[in-house]
Amino acid sequence: MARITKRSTDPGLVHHPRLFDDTEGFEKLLGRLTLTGPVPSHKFLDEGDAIKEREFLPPDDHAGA
Amino acid sequence: MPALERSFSEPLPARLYIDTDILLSATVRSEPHHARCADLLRLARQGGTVLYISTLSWLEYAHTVSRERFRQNLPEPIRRRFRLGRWQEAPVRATYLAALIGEFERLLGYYEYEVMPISAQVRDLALTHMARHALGSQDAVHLASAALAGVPDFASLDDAFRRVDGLLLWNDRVHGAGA
Repeated sequence: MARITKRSTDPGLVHHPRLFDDTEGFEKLLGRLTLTGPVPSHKFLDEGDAIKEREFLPPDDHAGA
Repeated sequence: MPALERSFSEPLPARLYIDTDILLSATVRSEPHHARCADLLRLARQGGTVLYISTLSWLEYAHTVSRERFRQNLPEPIRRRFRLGRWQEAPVRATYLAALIGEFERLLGYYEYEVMPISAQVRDLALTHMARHALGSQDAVHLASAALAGVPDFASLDDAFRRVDGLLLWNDRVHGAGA
């Protein structure tokens, strides 16, 4: 787990220094997982409960949506 | 004025806010946008870009990899290794999440990065963004986190951010030029 070494001057931000520098390890992490189907949404709402985007848009945006 | 969309072939800024979808696409090889997101992370690493990320991303990443459809679509060796057939058991969930979040954090460890916690300031600004830009709550938290961190460059493939006025949106223009 990354080590917290200092609190930066930005409000609430927590700074983490770079810990690793080996390209081989980095590349292993990219594409580490392969799924046999699509990745589900990271949104907390279930797809079935999600409110459609169009319902959020002001009337002017409907035409271009 | 909509967001100002950026291609990943453009020179990266010194500081870049990263949305969870970029990290998910970079780590899941079968994702349609895997190659471009992995390339973005490579360029950010090579260029020494400082990443900014919300505490929320840990929860979103954990949420995604915990979803039944994600677990069911994992290769059988991984399902066996983590005994995912016994998901109802807390130790199974804990071991699996610790491993995947560990890899998530290890990937971040290749960068200098700043974490924005979900503070009262973030909450208040996120509520404003929900009203002003018609964003969902999670998107609004990310946008508020970047704004409060003072980072104008925002990497996300989420279409919703395209309607945020003036946002420097790094999405590799996946939604089409001028759309």
